[in-house]
Parts: sequence; C-alpha cells; structure tokens
Amino acid sequence: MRIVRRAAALVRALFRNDRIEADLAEEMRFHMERDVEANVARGMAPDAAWREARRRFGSVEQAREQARDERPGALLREFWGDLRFGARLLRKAPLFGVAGMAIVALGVGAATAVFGVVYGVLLQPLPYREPERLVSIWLERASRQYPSAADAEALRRLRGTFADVALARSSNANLTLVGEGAPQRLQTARVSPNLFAVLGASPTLGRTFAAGEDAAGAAGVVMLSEAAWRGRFGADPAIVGRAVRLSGASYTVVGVMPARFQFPTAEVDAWIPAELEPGELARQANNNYRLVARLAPGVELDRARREADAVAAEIARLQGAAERGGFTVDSMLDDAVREVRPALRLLLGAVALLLLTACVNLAMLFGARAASRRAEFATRLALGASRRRLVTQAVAEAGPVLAAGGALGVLVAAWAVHALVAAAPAGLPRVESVELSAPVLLCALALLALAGVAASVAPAAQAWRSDFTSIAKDGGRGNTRRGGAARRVGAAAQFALALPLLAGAALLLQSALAVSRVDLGFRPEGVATFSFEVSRATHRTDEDVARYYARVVEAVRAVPGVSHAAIGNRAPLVGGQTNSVRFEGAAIPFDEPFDVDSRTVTPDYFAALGIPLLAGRTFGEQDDADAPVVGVIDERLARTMWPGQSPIGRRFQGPGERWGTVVGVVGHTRTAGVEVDPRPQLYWSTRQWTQNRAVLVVRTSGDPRALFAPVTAAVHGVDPEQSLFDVRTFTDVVGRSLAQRRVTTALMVGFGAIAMLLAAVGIYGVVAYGVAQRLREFGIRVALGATRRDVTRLVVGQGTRTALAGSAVGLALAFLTAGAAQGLVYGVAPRDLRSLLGAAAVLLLSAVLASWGPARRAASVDAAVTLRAE
Amino acid sequence: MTRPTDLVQGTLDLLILRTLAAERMHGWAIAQRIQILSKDVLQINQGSLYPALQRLERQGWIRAEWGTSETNRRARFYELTDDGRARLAAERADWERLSAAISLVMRTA
Repeated sequence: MRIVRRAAALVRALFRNDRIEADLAEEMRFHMERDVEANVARGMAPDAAWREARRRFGSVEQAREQARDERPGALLREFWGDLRFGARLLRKAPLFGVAGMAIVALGVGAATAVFGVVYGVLLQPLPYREPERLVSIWLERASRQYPSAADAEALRRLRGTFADVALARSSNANLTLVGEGAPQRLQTARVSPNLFAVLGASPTLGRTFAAGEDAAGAAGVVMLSEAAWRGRFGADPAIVGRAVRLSGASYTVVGVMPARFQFPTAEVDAWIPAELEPGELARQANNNYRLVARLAPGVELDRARREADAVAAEIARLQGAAERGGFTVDSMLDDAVREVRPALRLLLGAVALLLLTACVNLAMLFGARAASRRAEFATRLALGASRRRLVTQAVAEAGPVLAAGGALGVLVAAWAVHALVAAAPAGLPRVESVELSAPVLLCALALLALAGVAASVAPAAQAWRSDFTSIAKDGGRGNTRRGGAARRVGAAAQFALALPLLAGAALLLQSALAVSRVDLGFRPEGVATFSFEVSRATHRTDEDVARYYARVVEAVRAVPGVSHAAIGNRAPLVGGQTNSVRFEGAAIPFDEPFDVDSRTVTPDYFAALGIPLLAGRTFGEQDDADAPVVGVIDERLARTMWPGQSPIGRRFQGPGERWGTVVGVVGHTRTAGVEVDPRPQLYWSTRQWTQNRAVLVVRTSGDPRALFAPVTAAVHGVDPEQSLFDVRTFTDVVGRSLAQRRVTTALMVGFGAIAMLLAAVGIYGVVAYGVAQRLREFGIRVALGATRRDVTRLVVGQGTRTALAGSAVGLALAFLTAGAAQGLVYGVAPRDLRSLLGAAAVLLLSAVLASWGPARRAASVDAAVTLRAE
Repeated sequence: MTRPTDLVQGTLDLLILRTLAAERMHGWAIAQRIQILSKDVLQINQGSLYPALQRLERQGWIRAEWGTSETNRRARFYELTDDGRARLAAERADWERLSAAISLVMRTA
C-alpha cells in the first residue's frame, strides 16, 4: 500500500510538476495575504502590514526551492536537468553527437538484428506442445538419410522410450488441385495419422486424422493449411466435410491447421494420410520418411539414443548386413536448424566483436571529450560541487547520445531484420518467426546499457579524480600520463577486436572464390527447369507415365528455340535419391551394398544439361520396359568400382532386385549442392524405372527465361490439368544453392569493414591528440634540425606501433577463434595463414593512413610560431 | 539525532504533527497556532514551514487538499493520516524521553 502511494506521489511529482508548483505558489500567496489581514486587524497600516508579512516570510524563492528538494523524485529531476544540459552540449558540438549516435546506432542496431535472427531461428521454442521432448530421427549410414517406414515401426515398439513415432514424406507428394479454376499445385505431405498427436497440435477447424485412415482403400481425407484454406478456398467456414478433387481423386476435407503449424516444411498446403505400400513395413525399403517422435515421460535424450542404436544393431543383424549404421536422434529444434547454426553462430560472434569495438570507440570518444572539460570539472569541484554530483552529471550527459543512438539503432535493426529476412536463402528454417520480438528488444536495451557503461566510464572516472591543483598547475591542457596510456590501450584493443572479424571476412571471401571455381559437372547456362508431379489417377501404370513423359518431351522439343528437352526425377544440385546397389566384380565386394545417387532420366538428359559422355553410350529409345535394364554411371563410380578397367558391360543389382548392365560412363555432377559432393551417381532409364516426380530440363541457345511461357503452354497442350512448379533458370538454382554463403560472406565483410573503420578512427583520435599535446616538442625538434620526414616518421611510427600491438593480440584471438569458421570455409583451412596475415596487413595499412593526417600536421609545425605561442 | 540541525528539523516536524492532531488546518494557521501556543517563543519561519509540509506529505504522514478558509478563501488544508498519527505517538515518546533526560542532566550535573 505504502509503495503504491509513494509510486503515485513520485509519478505525480514528475509529471504534474507544473501543477504542484502552481499549488505551492498559491498556498504561499494565501499565507502572506492571511498575515497581512492579521496585521491589519491588529491595527497596522496596509503597507506596513505588507512589509511586515514579507519580512516574516523571508525569501519566497528559497522556500520554493527547499520545498522542491523535499518533494519525491528530487534526484530524478536533477538527472533530467543533466540530461537536458547534455542535449544542449550536443547542440554546441554536433559532430561529436553525430559520431556518438552513429556508433551506438551501428553497434546496437547490427547486434540486435543478428540476435533477432538468431533468436527467431535458433532459440525460440518450436510451436508444439512440450517441444523440448520432441526428437527427429535420421538414418546414419555413410551420410545422413531418411529412414524407412519399417524403421519407424521398429522404433515404435520401444514403448518405454518413445511415447509415439510419427512419419511424414515431405517433398515428393505434390498434387494438382482441379475443378477450382486453373490447375494449381498443392504441395502436400503424406503423414502418419498420429503425427498431430505426437506434435501436440490441434486444428483450428474440424479434426485431425483418425487411426486407420492411412489403410489401403480407406476413404480419401485431407487436412488443409491455414494459408491454403484462406488462399484457395476463401476461408470458407464450412470447409470441413467439403469434397475436393486432387489429381483426379476425391478427398474430404476433415480439418484446417493453424498457420504456425509448419511440418515438415512451411510450404506445405495440405496433409494426406501416408498409405504404405503392401509389405513396406516388413522390409527396409523406401528410405524416404522424416521421423519425429515424442520421448516417453522421464526419458532423456541419451537413453533414447542408446535404445535406438540397439534397434539399429538388431535390424542389421536380422538383415545380415555388414554395416547398416545407426539412428541419429536429435532434439527437433537442433535438427531443424542444424545447417544454419554454424553460420548464425559465426555471425553472432562477429557482431559481438563489432559491438565491443564500437563500445571501446565510444568510450574513447567520450573520454576525449571529458578530458577537454577537465578544467571545468575541477573548477566546479573547487566551488563546492560534490564529487557524486559531478559523476552523475558526467553519466547523465551521455544520455541524449545514447537515447538517440539507441532509438536509431532499433530502427537500423528493424530495417536490417527486414532486409535479412528478404535476403535469407530459400529454406532458412523458421525465417517467418524472425522479428523484433520482446526478448529481442530487451536484448537491444541490454546492449544499449552496455554502450551506456562504455560511454560513461571515462567521464565518470575523470569527474571522480578531478583535482583543482593539478589543473591550476598545467593550465588545464596537460595530458595525464594515465589518460594517454588508456587511450593507446583503447586504440590497440580496437585493432585486436577488428582483426578476427577481418580474418573471418578474408576466409569467407576466399571460400566464395573457391566455390565459384567449383566444376559443377554440367553447364547451367541456357537451361530452364520445370518441376511437376504425375497423377497416378490419370496415368495408372508405369507404361502410361513413361508414355506421358515421352509426349511431354516431344511437345516441348517442338517449342521454337528449344535445342534439348529431357525429364529426370531430379535435377542436379537439389538433392536426390540414395539407393544401396551391389556391383559385380568390383573393388567393393558384391555382398557390401554401396550407396549411390540414383537418377531416372530420359535419353536427352545428358545433352540438355551438358554432361559429357566419356565412354559407351547414353540411353536410347530402345531401353524400354521390355529391354534388359541398363545403367549409365559417372566417372567417380567407374573409378571406385573398376579402377583402371572398363566398366562397360558390368552388372549390378539395384533396389527391388533390379539387375542391370552398365552401358556408358558420363562426367560426375554435383548432386546435392555446389559445396557438397556426397556420392557417385548411377542413372536409370525412365522407361525402365518410372517415378511420379519429374523435372523437365530444357536447353536453349537464347535466354532460358523466354522459355517459361511457351514450354508451360506446350505441357498444357498435352495435359491441361498438369501443374508446373519451381519454374526457374538453372543459373537461379545455382544461386539459391549459394544464397546462405553469399549472405554470410556479405555480412562478415560488412562487419569487418565497419570494425576496421572504427579502429582507424580510434587510432586517428589518439595520434591527433598526441600531436596536439606535443606541438611544442615538435617545434623544438624542428628548431634543433629535425626534418619533416623525421617528424612524420615519428608520428606515423607511434600510431603504427599501437596498431601493431593490437594486431598481435588480434592475431592470437583470430587463431583461437578460428574454429568458429569450421564448416563454413570451403577450399581453405580455418587457420589459413594467408587470410590471417592479409587481414593484419590491411588493418595496419589503415592505421598508417589514419596516422598520416596528424603526422603531416606535426611535420608542418613552424618552430618560431609554436615556441612564441608559449 | 546526533547533530543539532537534525534536532531542530525533527522538532519542527513533531510540532506540525502535534498541531494537526487536533484538527485539519492550513499552513498559516499551523504557524499561527505554534506561535500562540509557545507564547511567541517559537516563530516558524515560513521558508522552512512549506518544505517541512512537503516532506511530511512525501512520507505519507499528512495529506493535503484544497478547501475554504475561515476568511472564505481557497486554502490548502492539511490533516494527519493514520501513519502520521502513529508517527506522532512514536516521536512524542522519543521527545519526552529525550527532554526528560536533558532536564535531568541539567538539574543534577
């Protein structure tokens, strides 16, 4: 109660100050008039009564001031006064203010923006029930792979470990929505009915799937995303129960999921129960499911990992396989951000260094100003101001710069977050949850407080140490030894902090250069790609699909400007399908299955992408379902399996007991991205292994963009209900594969440049100050015969020595923190000496340049003038 | 209560509280009342009366509101709060103990 009343009184005192003052004035006036009346009543003449009342009252002004000091918030009002004084000082020194604000805004803004992204992507909990108990499960063989439905079933039996295991097939289930205007692609995920229960997500409308709805022959049901429900169905409140036709088959809408539910990806428009193939649960086939499980109560991640490993070992034993790898069980959040975490961590570290550099710079800036006011503070102390009062004032005067810089910094952060999200590479997980949320703004406030400490520490220390006698002795312009040393340490510290940033930027630039020189194995220029998904409702058999592909290719090849057209199940760079294949008479024994990247393609695929044929032949029209199965391998597989021998005519056994013969060898291409090269390749003829997922690759001698419309029209000429998606030029696909690297590199280079600029400004400040202090000394040196060059060298040498000391520490720091770049560098070691020394050289050059101006000023000293000025 | 200024300041606060214990009154009346009761020995300097009133108000021992004076003018009236009453009792006990102690010393020493 008392606290509430006090707070209310404080608020009143602070915000209704005018009112209180007016009340007090009126009260005092009443008092005096009442005195006059009393005096008159006692028989005094009116003017004598007034004089007497006045005499008795004493100084009205003094009474007012004392009353003011007794009111709540007197200290705050004093602080407010100091703030206003600080603002007035700024008006007198606008350059100082602008510099201070810019440093605060840059430091706080950049750090807040990066923290905003890190928080949104890495830290914010997933939007599910008890998200920390959710795990993602992968199959770990030579590399990370999707597990199979049988794996899910085996793990589900671990009742005590996993409460339940759900599966989802994420990418290759794109259906076509028909009967609602033009055919539209509806990206779907096929999921086990228990998915929603495992994640603990409930629908906004209707229900989720019931057990058994994934059984073969069950009535078709579909759940819609909120985006699809709004965008395609006009947010129809009566959508539940409505029948929709998807790719020729009928489905009943049973529910709508809220917008924040984005599993397996944010792009999913609809969910359909995953109907398993007959016998799929019994054999280890179709490794293409994402598994997500909820840990049973009380089960720790480590225990789940051990139990899952035991299951993997059991499966391997049953299969008699030599090596089947294990399961990777990771927290769902860690798993979702696995690929971006190194980059975001690096950027967070970088921006922290940048912020520290900015703080040191700010401390030096305010320290220099405080030094120029030494005399003023000492005089005030001598006149009776308390040290506490001087320190508060020193701190308060930094307020306006911090407030304005902080506000500007939040604007910078808002803009930067917006720009970062816009520039974010496709597939940056959880990018939609990046915003200036409350925790992020709190972080900005904390950073601002840090900047505030940096800005006030030197002035406060100086105010505390103020000493009139020393000022009086040197006339207020002397440089205390301690102040000079502190300044040099500050300048050196900025170099130490900037160096790891520049070294990181150099490493990433070298990596970018190395990546740009990667041989992709094909020629992306002049190629356009169109993805689509065949409907099995209209094309029932494999032969139907193969015939349909042939008609599409034929129609597209007839488009003017098209030189080659082909269909594959996947294009290079975007990932593919991994299969275990056994090779006869090869370096790796037949009973050891070998993981290859499988692609099913039509004959013209190699020509369309510009993949060179090295031996034998590629596919032809004769390689159809009735002919013997043939395969084309890449040179890497040829070298691995039959080093020094011809692979032509060798036999292999693929998935589903498919036996085939190698008929040709082509160049190796990058299958899963520009920077990764997981495994060798085996191509199959589409007519011998037909898949529903397809990408049309079209080569032209002109601009591939010009093909988008006519090729789409040609496909619709074959099937008006066929929807096409991911229509892109292949150069664009390459760009997307590099987007994350590009953004990370650009940010590192930007941070490095800003840090270098700050460090250069810092060294300039120190050298310029030193020169100003020592003008007389330089005058004497010149008078004694020193040349301009001598003086220049002296000054530049001093600045460079400071920078050198800082850089040496920075080199050590860069060397120690180089591990952060692990996984982000390409074609260069994280402790690459050239990058480290190159960064140091650039920094030192900036120090020399920054010292040059003050050095010239020192060198142009006229001895006679300087000495006479004393 | 180590320094004489504290004693004086504390005493003014005590006198105001005591005066207000009888009835609510405005600043002038408080000063008047103290002067009359002390037979003109204690003349309250208005320069310290109003700061003291603000201080007591801040402590929550008195509260103020605008009212109409005996001369039919707008005046600010003060009255004791419950906290103020408790405070008065405590200070009064202190004061009596202190003044008794001082008198004792003065008489016997």
